Amino acid sequence: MATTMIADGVLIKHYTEGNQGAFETLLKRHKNRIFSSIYALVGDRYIAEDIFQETFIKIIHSIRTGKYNHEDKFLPWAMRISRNMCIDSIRQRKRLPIVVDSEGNDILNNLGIFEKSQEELHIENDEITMLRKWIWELPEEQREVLVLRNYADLSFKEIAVVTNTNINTCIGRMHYALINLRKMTQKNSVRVK
Amino acid sequence: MIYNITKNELLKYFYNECSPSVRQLIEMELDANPEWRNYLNYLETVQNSTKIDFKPNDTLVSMILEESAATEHQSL
Repeated sequence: MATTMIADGVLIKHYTEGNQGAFETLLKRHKNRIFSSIYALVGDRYIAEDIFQETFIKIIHSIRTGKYNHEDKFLPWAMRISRNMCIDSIRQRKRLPIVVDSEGNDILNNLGIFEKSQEELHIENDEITMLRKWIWELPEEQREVLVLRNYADLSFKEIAVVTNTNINTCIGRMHYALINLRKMTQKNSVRVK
Repeated sequence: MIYNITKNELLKYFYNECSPSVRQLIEMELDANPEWRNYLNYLETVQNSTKIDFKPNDTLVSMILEESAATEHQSL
């Protein structure tokens, strides 16, 4: 028997009426896409976890206080919240001074603060990891569109809303992101499967 | 060919965002345009390579659910 997925807007309505299970369904439905997108944007699991938690706390409070009015556009709305937090985080980190040890290595990387999880270690030497690193090398605006399209699975129209641009700008940025990734692939002579 | 397909349209085609008429045109002309096929294959490669499904840890998810339950009690 076919099952029908309850729309996000309906879940949110149930949640505002006191149905905690509706929120749990919403969270479990979108958590991986939202987390993956945040992670791909900030490039650090621990920062990604903080932003993910802050995003959902903001979502909870917005819904609870009746500020959610996007009907079934929950994911683009949630991605807009997390995207703004990612931008703030990246800008803050750019302002932080880099402290290096006697060998010139970033001291934060040697404190165990940014230890990698098992899943990260598993893919450490994978070609996929290489591509992900190159995505991080892309200009911020290009990386953002690529991440929102491929990780969050937002349409270009939705990305335009999230990023305050228009659809042609988004498609153009995606196109240049792909060109730049191809250049990096060729430059590094690694065949991406 | 009457209509010139751009890479931006191929991009929209790949992500199922082009108009039905452009879709039909691309599918009709695809075999005659190997460079289109190459571009679409490249898009698929990038997409597959970026499909890494990272998951937030369970503790974090539980904390968010607890926060949600706590705000419910506050609003009662």
